[in-house]
Parts: sequence; C-alpha cells; structure tokens
Amino acid sequence: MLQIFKSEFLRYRTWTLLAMVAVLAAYAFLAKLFPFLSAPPEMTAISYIVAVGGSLAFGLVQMLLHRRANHWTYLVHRPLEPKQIYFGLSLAGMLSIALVLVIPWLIMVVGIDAFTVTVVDTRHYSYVLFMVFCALTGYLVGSLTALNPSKGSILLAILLLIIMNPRPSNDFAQFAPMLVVLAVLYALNIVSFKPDLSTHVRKPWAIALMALPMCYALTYGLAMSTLIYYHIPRFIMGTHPDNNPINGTVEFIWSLKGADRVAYALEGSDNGNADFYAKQAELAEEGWISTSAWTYPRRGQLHTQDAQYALTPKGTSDVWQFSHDQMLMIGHSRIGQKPLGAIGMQGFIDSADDATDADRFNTVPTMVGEKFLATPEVIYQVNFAERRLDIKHAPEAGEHYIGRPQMGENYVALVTNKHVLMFDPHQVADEYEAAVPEYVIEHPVPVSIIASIDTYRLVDGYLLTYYGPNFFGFDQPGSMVMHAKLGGGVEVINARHYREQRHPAWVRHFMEKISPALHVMDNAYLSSVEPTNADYTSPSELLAREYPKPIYWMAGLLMLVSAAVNFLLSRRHGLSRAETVTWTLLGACLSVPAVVAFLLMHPWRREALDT
Amino acid sequence: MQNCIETNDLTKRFGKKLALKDFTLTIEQGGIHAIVGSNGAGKSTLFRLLLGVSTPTSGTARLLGADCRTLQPEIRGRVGYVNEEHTLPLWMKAKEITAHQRAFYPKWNQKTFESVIGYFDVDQNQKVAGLSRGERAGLNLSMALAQSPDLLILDEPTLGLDVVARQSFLEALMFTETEANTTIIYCSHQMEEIERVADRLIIMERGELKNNSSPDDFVERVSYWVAEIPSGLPDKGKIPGYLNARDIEGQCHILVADQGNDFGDFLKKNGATAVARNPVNLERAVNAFLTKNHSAPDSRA
Repeated sequence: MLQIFKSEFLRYRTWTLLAMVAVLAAYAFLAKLFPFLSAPPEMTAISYIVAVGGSLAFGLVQMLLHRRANHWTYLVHRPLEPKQIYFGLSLAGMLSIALVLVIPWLIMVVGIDAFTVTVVDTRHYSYVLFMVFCALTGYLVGSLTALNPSKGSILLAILLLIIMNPRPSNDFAQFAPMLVVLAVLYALNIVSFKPDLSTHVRKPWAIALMALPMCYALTYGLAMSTLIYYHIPRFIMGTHPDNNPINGTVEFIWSLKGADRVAYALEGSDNGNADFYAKQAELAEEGWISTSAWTYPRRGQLHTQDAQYALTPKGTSDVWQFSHDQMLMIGHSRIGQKPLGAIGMQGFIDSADDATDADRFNTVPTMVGEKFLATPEVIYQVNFAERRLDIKHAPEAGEHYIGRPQMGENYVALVTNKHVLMFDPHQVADEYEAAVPEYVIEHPVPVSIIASIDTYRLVDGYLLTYYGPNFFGFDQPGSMVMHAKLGGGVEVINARHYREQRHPAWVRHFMEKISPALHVMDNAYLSSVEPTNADYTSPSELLAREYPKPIYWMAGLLMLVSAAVNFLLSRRHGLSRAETVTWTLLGACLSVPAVVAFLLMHPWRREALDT
Repeated sequence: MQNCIETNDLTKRFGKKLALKDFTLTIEQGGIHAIVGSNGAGKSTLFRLLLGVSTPTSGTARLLGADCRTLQPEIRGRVGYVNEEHTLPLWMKAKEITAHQRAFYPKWNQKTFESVIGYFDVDQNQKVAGLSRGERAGLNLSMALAQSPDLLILDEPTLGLDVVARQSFLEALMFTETEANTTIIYCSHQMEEIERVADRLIIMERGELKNNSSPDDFVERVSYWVAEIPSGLPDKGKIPGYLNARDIEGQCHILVADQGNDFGDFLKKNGATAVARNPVNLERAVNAFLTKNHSAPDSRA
C-alpha cells in the first residue's frame, strides 16, 4: 500500500506544488482587495466551486487515468488486495488536496495572526478543516463516478449540498455529518474498486448506502419533471398561475399592488368599515415586514457565515470585530494598527486581557449597521465617542427576536416569536434613549406560518395585512387585515379563507407523494442540524399535518408499486435473495426514486444481464 | 500436474459482438505457448478474463487452479503480465519503479533482473517517460521475470520494437525459460519469433480455438500444392481443407489443411495435368489459416 501511495503521490507532486503556489498567490491578491478573513459571499462561493469542483474533477481524472484497459491491469494485477491499492491511491489524492488547501490557508492566517492586530480566532484556523472535508467529499464522489459502473454515481454529489448548505447549530452538527458522509463515500469507493469495474455493487449494505443519497437527489430530479408535464404545458397554454394568476387564491395577492392587496384581503368582509379601510389604504404609504426566521450566529461558526465583518464607526478609522474565542468586541485603529480595547456585555474595557467572565457575551451578537449589536434577547447600542454600551431594547421575558431589525422609511420593525414591534426610527437612532415600540402587535397566528406582512401607514396607526399558504392550518391559506392603532389596541378588520389553491395537490405535495420517507428524513436531518430555520419541518410537525386524502392514497400506492417493480426487476436481473429483499424494501420505503435508482445501478443491456 | 490455464466453454459478449465463443483451452505447466490470431480474434479478451479484470458472460476460467473471477493476491503474485503498451508509471525513474515492484514480490530475483536488464541499455536514473519503447519493454520484461512467476503472460510484447530491441527481448526471454521453469504465454503476430521460441502453438479465430499443438505438428497439418489445371481451379467450396489458392503464371498454388497425399489425386481428378507437393513454413501455414475466412478479392481470377 505504501508503495502505491508513494508512486501516486510522486505522480501529482509537481501539480500539487503548482496548485499550492497558485492558491497562495490568489489569496495574496484577494487580501489586497478586501479583509482576507471577510471575503464577500460571491468570493466564498467561487472558492467552494473551485475547491470542491476541482477536487471532484481530480478524483474523476485520477481514476479514469488508471482505468484505461492496460493501465488498469497493470494497477490491479499485483499481489495486493484491491482495497489496499485503493487506500494507496486515495491517500495520495487526498493528501495532495489537503496540502493545496491547508498550507496556503495556514500561511495566510498565521501571517495575519502574527503580523496584524486583526482578530483571528480558532474558527479561522479550523475553517480549513471544513474546506478540506468538503473538497474530500467532492474528490470521493469524483473517484466513485469513475470507479462505479452505475450511471447515477455522480448524483451522490447531492451529499455536498447536505453538508454545505445548512448553518449548523453547533460544531458537532457541523462536522459529524461530514465525517459520516466521508465514511460512506469511502466505503462505497472501496467496494467499487474491484478488478472488474463493469460489475455492479452487490452487497446489501453497499446497495442501501449508495441508493439512499441517489434517491434523495432523484426526488429533486423527479420534482423538476413536473416542469415537463405540468408547468411548461400550462405556460404554453397561458394558464399557468405565474402568468395567469388565479383569483380566489392567496397567491393572487402577489399579482396586485398597493391598496388593491388590502381590497383583495377584505373581499367578502362583513365588517362595516371594510370599505373605509380599503379607501384609506389607497392613500397610505406602503411597507413590508419579513417574518422569516433568521439563524443567529453561534460561537465558533464558520467565519464565512458572518453577516457583518465589523463595526466601523463613521468618521474614524476604527474597526471593531467580534472575537469568538474571547466573546468580546475587539477594537483597533487601521492607522498604526493601534489597539482600542474591547467591548463586553457591561461596556468598554481598556484591554481584552482585563475582561472578566461577566464581561463576555453569552451569545454571539450580530452587528447591525454602524453601532448596533443584536442577540436574540437584547439589542445593544454602542456609543463609540463616549465609549458606552447601552441596551437599546430587550423583549419581554420568554420572548425573543426571530430576525434582525428591519429599517423602514416610517418605522424600524422587530419581529419576535410573539409580536411585531414597530419603533420610531428617530428614537432608534437616538444615542441616549432606549427604544420603546410605538406599536406592539401580537401575531394572530404562530409567526412560523406567516409568509409576510404588508403595512399601510394610516393617520391613526397602521393597517397590517398578514397572509400565508398555511395561515389557518396546513394547506389552509388565508389572510388577515388588522388595524394597529396609535396609542395601543389592535382591531381585526377581516380574516379571509381562500378555498382555491394555486396548484393542484399532486403538484403542491409532489415531494411527499413520490417519497414520503425521504421527505421526512430530509426535514428530520435539516431541522435537527439547523433547528432555527423555519424552512425545515420537524418529523413530529410533518406527521401532524393533514394532507389532502388523495396524497395519502397516491403515496401509498406508489410505494407498493415501487416495491413490486423493484422485486420484478430484481428477479429479471437474477439478483440474489439478499439483493432482491434489499431492493424490494428500498422500493417500499423510498418509493419511486428507488425504482429509478435500481435502473441506474444495474446494466440495461440484455447480454450484460447474463453476466 | 496442475494446469496453468484452464477454460471451459468460456464466452464473452460485448453488445452484439461475440468476443469469445465456448472457448475451451487447457495449458499445462512449462514451456512457451504462443497464441496467434488476427486482430479481434479474442486474444486480449482472453487475457483480461484470465486476469480477472473482465467477467465472462458464461463459462469458467481458472488460472493456476484458481477461479479467475476471484483471484487472490497470492495467485496474482505468481502470474506475471506484460502488455503491448509496456505500461509503467511514466513519472518514475527506472530504479524507483524497480524498487517499487520489488516491494510487492517476496520471490523477487535480483540476479534474474540484472541478467535480463543487461540485454537492454537502460539508464536506471532515467524517468520511464524518457526511455525508448525498447528500453521500456526491456525494463518491463526484466521486472516481470524477476518476480519469478510460475506463469508469465506476454501480450504482443514486441509490438513496435525495432529489430535490435526485438532480438534482445527474445534472447532475454529464452534465457529465462531455460533458467527457470516459468510457463510463458506469448501472444504475437511475428511468426519468426514464434518459430524461434514457441513449444506450443495456439491459434484463435473469431473467438474460437482453432489449433493447440506444437508448431511442427501444425505445419504438418498444412500442405502446399502446385498444380497445372488447364480448366482452372474447381469451386473452392468443393476443395477439401481449402485454405488459400493463387493462380501464378498459369499454375495453381493451393494451401489446404489436414489433407494427405491423396489430395494430389483429387486435383488430378479435377483436371490437373501436373501436381507437386511442396514444403510450407510456419508463417505461411499460419497466415493461410488465419486468412481463410477473411474476405479478399478472388485471387484465382
């Protein structure tokens, strides 16, 4: 194995060195354009594409070069177990990738840490681990694609999405799934690396490990298939709801503007003042409040997920960055790299070294604008001139913000888990005054099911229109118009239920229908990794939902049919009993995607079936 | 005694193409066994099946007694393989690749390596990419022989080599065959090489085994006749054992297989006025055998 590793590493040594130098040069160049540890999101995205895409291509090319007929025979025909040969090859490949990513990164970060006063945390060093794990995942997907005869091996690239997309709530949730994915891919590579590369994997555990992520990717592919037989034909006929909105659906609101939205939400109202409010809205200034839950930063999170790099007070050259290691804001002047002390929960401190535990923040605050620090429980205002930290606002006990302050023309809005709070912007901007909301409006329904809130400024307060596709329960769209009165008090003007749906149930719940198990698994994973994200639904919530009855019937029928088809296909391919049972179970559990996975993981030609 | 190679009704199909058809072959230990066949006869497919890098559509293949589909490292260590490309890691130096290979083979024979490499002018500090094709072939053969294999498979090893390199290769090969009791499977299109080295001649055609005998026995099977036939040759379908025929300056030159002296009587019965049987060499005999079923312009015209 060692000999194989040495030989393979030698093969890519020069390329590794060149890539390392190129990456370092790119880093040095980028450091001239912006603070190196605060790359713009586009730059981060490009670096992921290069690192992960490059590694995937490398894995693919490395194994394709070996699998040329004579080269393959030369490689595998030796007194060594195939898995040992693969160990050697993959170790060399992975080491090359690790060197290209780790060394330039460490040179940059160590340099910044040692020669500047910029805050460098442990997370800046450990970020390279994340990069390496993602790149290795790409590498293993690439090599698997080259080694495995399945036509769907590349679909396992979906695993990259699983590990890179969420914002995990802790380090374990960040790295444990990555390690599991790496282990799964490595195991699949080992079973795929066999003298005859044309034979498919036959071990039940390998079939299951390969089919599961493949099915997951296929659910999205199958969902996209609705484009062909639903969306595009309806677009062509001009009946698609996107270009021909359906009156009577909640989504019809999107096609309306201004006061028409209010009028639509008030249709059918038995409130005597409905017309009055509709007319008032015509004259009102409009606004919009987002109810999307925002995942607050966590201690040690990837620095690329930071919403803002630093607070930079206007008219100064000062920079205040949050140190995750110290849980303090650390300041320095860009002129002469002079330290400016620290900001803790209790205010300014001359030096971070003087900070006590009471000074350190309990949670990582997110920076807002030039002088605000927001945590889910408190919004602080920093007065840099007087070196003072004040609490600008804190919600009631048991209440927390679900998003960052939203600056409007007429108000600053904060959405908590219980209320919408609307503040006077002048008061919020005031250096010395705590912010007291002018309006406190209780959510008429749980905030997680409110899609959006429109606001209309009236003479005596605000008219608010709440709406969402699940407003009155799952799959029960609705809207509500409320009048928040100046001086307190909220009146519900109208609540409207929408009986019409934008799309038929089989399109709305396509994912649930074609593979209920995968839909639950997907949401279970994502909601456990990132529980604050309202886009992910926990299994208990999913199970509590009441779907239209045909969805249950269709889902059940598809599962049964998929199991039967997989059973018959297994028999036709002459699979062993264990394989037949595995595929039948996969069909029964994962439904339609498992049938497609079967087809992708087996030969199509008759003569190949005879082998 | 255990057979080196044993195939039974071995069949391999690629799409609509039948590369091997019910191929049954037994090769005992010892000696040099030449395999010849035209392009596409299935030689390389046979080797790929024997080395387990391809799976048969049906039938079985055994290498040193082991099922080819599940060859263990121990068996692989006893079988050397040299292909026509002389595949070696181009990025390594000759001495590095030698050390690399040596590490895998406990029975590595440095003396053999040095003796064989001596036939070739290989600079050990040169990268493989910088070696000539002949030098690469030499290095490859040296390493394959130094492994002290029980069986050595050479798939067209002299393809593309110049006359000097080919000479060195054959000398080195014959040296080893006499020194060690290695069974050698030698696939080549060069009949003079086969004539020099082969103990057995295996002929493959279109995936089927056509001959497995000593070269002399094979030559015995083919007879070469020259006859004057004023009325011209009879239809070739009616000529028993027909392989090849040419009309040269009014004389018919006919090659037939498995025919005795009574073939002369057959020609006379068909209008021949003078008939003579001439000796035939291996190359001509094999060529006639291999070209028998290949389409070509009718040379009798």
